[in-house]
Amino acid sequence: MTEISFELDGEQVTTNVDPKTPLREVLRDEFGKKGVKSSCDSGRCGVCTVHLDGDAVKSCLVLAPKADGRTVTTIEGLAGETDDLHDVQQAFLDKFATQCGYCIPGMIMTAVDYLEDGEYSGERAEIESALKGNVCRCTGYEKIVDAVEEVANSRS
Amino acid sequence: MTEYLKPVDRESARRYLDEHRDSAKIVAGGQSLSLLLRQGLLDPDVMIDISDVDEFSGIETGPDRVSIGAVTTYEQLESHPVSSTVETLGDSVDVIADRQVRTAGTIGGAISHADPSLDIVPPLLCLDATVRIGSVDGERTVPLEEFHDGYMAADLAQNELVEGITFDGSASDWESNYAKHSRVSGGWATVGIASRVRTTDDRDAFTDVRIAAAAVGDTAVRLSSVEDALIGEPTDRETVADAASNATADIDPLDDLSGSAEYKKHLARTLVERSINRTVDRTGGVR
Amino acid sequence: MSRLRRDERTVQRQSERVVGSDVPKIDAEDKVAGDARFGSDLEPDDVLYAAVLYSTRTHAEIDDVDLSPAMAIDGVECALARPDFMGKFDDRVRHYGDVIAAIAATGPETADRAVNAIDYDLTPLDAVHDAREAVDGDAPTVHPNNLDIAQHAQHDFTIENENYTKNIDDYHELTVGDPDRGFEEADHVVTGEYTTPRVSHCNLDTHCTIAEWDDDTLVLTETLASHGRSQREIAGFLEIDPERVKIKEPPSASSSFGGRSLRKLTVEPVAASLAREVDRPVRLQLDREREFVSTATRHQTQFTLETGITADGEITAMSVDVVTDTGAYPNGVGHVVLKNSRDRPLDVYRIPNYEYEGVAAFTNNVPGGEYRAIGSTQLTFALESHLDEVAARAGLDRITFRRKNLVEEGYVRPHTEVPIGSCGVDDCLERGLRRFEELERDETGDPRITRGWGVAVGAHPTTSGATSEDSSEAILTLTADGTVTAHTGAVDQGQGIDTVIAQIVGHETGIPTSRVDVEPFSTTDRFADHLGSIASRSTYIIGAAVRDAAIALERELHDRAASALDVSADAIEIQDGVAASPNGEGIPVEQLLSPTDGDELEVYGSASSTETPVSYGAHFAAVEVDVETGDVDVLTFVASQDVGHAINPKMIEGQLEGAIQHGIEFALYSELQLDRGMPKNANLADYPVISPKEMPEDVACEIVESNEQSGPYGAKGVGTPSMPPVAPAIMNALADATGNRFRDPPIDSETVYTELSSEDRR
Repeated sequence: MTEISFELDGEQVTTNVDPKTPLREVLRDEFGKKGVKSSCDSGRCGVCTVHLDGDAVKSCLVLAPKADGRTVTTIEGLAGETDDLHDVQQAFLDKFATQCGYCIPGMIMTAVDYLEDGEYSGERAEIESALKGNVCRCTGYEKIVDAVEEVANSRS
Repeated sequence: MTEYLKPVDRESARRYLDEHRDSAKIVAGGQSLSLLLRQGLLDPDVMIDISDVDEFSGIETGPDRVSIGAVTTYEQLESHPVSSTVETLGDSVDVIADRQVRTAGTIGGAISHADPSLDIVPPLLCLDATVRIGSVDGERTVPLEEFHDGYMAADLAQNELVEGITFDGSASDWESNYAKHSRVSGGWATVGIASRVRTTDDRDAFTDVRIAAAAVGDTAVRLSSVEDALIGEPTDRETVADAASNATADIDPLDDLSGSAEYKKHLARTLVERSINRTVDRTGGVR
Repeated sequence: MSRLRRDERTVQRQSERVVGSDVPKIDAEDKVAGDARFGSDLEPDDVLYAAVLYSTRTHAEIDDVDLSPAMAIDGVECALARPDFMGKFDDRVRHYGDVIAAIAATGPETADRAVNAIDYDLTPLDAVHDAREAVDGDAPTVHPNNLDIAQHAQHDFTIENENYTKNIDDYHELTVGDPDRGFEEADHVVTGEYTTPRVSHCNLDTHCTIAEWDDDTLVLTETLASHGRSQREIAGFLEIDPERVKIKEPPSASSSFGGRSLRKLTVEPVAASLAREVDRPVRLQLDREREFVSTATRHQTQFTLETGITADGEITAMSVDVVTDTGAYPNGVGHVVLKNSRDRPLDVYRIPNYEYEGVAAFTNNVPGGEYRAIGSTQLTFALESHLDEVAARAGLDRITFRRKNLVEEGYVRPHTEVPIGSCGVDDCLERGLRRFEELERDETGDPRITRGWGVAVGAHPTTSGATSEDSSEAILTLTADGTVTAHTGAVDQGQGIDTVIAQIVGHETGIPTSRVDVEPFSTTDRFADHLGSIASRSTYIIGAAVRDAAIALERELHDRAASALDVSADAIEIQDGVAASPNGEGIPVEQLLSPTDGDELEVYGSASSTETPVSYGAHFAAVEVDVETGDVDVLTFVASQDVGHAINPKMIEGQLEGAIQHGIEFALYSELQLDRGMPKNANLADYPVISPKEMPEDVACEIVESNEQSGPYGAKGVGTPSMPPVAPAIMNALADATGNRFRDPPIDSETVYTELSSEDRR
């Protein structure tokens, strides 16, 4: 077993893991972060997307020891200490971007990464490229792209 | 239980690997590795994560060479000026998988994985890139074209690891491109073609041509039949189309889920033509 | 606690204050915050984890299963071989992914290890993988004809066709008028053959159930959209009393598209058997490969269509022949495919002479199952492709030809006595075309690019039509904190029915939707809804029951407020949860609870309908084809859909946009590929699901309101009816762009390229 310590949604945590374990399993099973979803097992769907030191990664493709000494943010910690929603979360709500909602945590984490990267045009085609690693089965993506576009425009 | 080692310098990385050899697996970004572990195709006793090794990280540009460390991520490459100056690199990174995978996936990990469908390899082949390989015995270099010596196979001894890749990216008179076909955006390449050319000053004839292809056989390959047919020839579209038809001479694709061998041969010809034309267009030449 | 029945003073309120507006989804905040918990997120402390030994053979006898090596592993609590499962399991496996044995252990890894330790012997049997071959007398037997394993829609049938002798799940035929004469009278007769793909729902949350026995009652915690049917089917299969099966919904339901309507033999009966044996709750979750091969796909279906028309484009006769692949086990859905294929042409077009024959056959393939507009999606692809071919043969404009033959309100279809109620199909065509023309693009001028456009009309009924009457009940409970809880048979799998219910309650009572909670019936509720959220019936029939209850609640609150404020009931206006008299005096509704109510006021509502209103759509697609690679890009898509009345327009757009996604996949991308029953792409790396990049650049939704008299506020179904026209609109655009008709979707780039480059191109 390998001991790992990292900051998880604002809290310092430590655990022992089999180093072959993906971060996703540690977040869900060890720390109860069920907001991090689990679906495809092939790295395609993106529902398990979290931020590692602020960058979106698929937590099923990141070995747990890679989180050691770093900061992991999940959808549950995105808004920080406040009770308010993050503006991207609010835009998803306002734009009717959720249906079943299973893809939404990962989708929002990718969208936030895109919007906080510093350089974006906010054009729909660019947003679509940014989100293509996150599968949604319900919405046809239209209202999800609407939501990200709205935040992109409001921030620029 | 698997041991996870995290060397912070080159010497300890090399030493760990030398100690554990075939029971060890090098971890870079882990984007392919974690799938192999999940599927039970790999079960190493020791994992050596080299992502904290400074010597393996980042991109150095000198007057006549570019050196990319093994644990440099696609994202780091994408945001580095070399992706603009060597456009085939930028084109390629832009169509690899998705944002999250590019954030974590590394150049060295990809090259070591040796999958013939990797998009990053054809551009590097067109750059005549050299793989820097390390071990306790020191460093040796191998041309990338020779490094991948079979399907998912690489010229690496049990105590050797890929530490970086080096190429000459200095010549500003080269133009380049990467053209890819895939079933869905971000998916594996059905065929991918990189091209890199240099033309005469008035841009009407090819002086140097390098073409490489992914997903057309056991390894990514240079298409020398196309290159030979173009060097010294005019840059007009008819000449390019004629030369592109030679693409099938250097490839041996298989039927698989992404398409039949016949279709891939056709795509190779089409994408070679398109890629070269885009490259020539980038020279700004009047055609 | 007192309960009220609706009195006779029901008032039809036409206020637009809540119904008809874009009320934000009431479950959205939990979902964006990451607080929503789905079935697979639930892991109770005392639960055991199941792992299943699945067959990699498509047809075999189970000779011997030695569970002792598995039982020897520490942490394994129970191991069962298939013949020892409860109920109707036998000693044979019939498809890749069928169940051989199962383990329950203290942890998932232990269970997986134990499954790998099981020793077993199978004797392979001859297998059949094509539905047309399966019905032949020489084919291996998968099941006897009309096998009964307690599936719904089981019915007697007589087969006239002597070529159909064995492996028959279901059979339907219908003759209307005189088809022979109809074809003789035709100036043009066109025949075409079409096949449809085995498409997977690819729900992101994989199937997961927690089975637990409370004495003799089985409690299943999972998303199952049709509780009533699932209870009966599971109980029937397990050979227990249907009253002894209870279904508990997880806090958030997972998406379905039909994939979670009904039980899966590989899921609930297996978990129930383990839980019974070990007398503890057992959690069984499928991994992604099992989700593809051990649940169900859309029925792979083969169509032969023949149509006769006069020179000026009037349909004189049509013949439809259908062979559909039920796969390895019956689930009542083969019947639905055949029935919907049979009726759909007659619901859309005036066809005086019609003949239909359909057979659903057992094969050793992954089972077929429910998927968004069962049968209608397949038939509509074939029919609308075919009608384009018919129009082309006769030299007729595609839209004019369709319009000439479309049904309209009041038209009595030849196969049913019931005249068509609301029918917005012509409006759909007109408004859809107008919008489509607005979105037309300039030509590229690139010789490698060819463009085309397509249109398709489609229809699908609201409610399943399985019985002559559909009904539902609802309970509203007003509590002292001023909130109303609606208990109904609905399951909100993302379509937004909970929000619709909150809107209806708010609309009728004047209590804000933010103070309305919506819950599925609990396992102890004594109220009934037989079908749940399937067949686009939720808004139509459950919504009507909620409206009935809400009106009763509103009347009661008015009466009580009138007494309290000493004015007449008619003078009371409830807004924002406050009942006010004309002189401005107000009283919050929660203060209208009386001591005799106890803590809450419970109101009952119900609704029933003998109608199965048809929802129509006319969809338009523009595609661009790269002739050198065969790549097809859907540039523009307009979904013009008759929804009766739009209770929440934004949510309707969401349904239409989702249907476009699934339709594009059906047409151009997605198919579970089987090679003699063995899957080739049962994972999300190889099976293409589309990303936003594959969606059309321009997507437009036109919402047509035809005011369905039998529906609440005029509403009828939208989720399933929006699906059928999508794929044929795209396929017709592809034919228009290339001059080539593709009849066997999904059509990938290679197929397009190969066809366009072939020497003998038509």
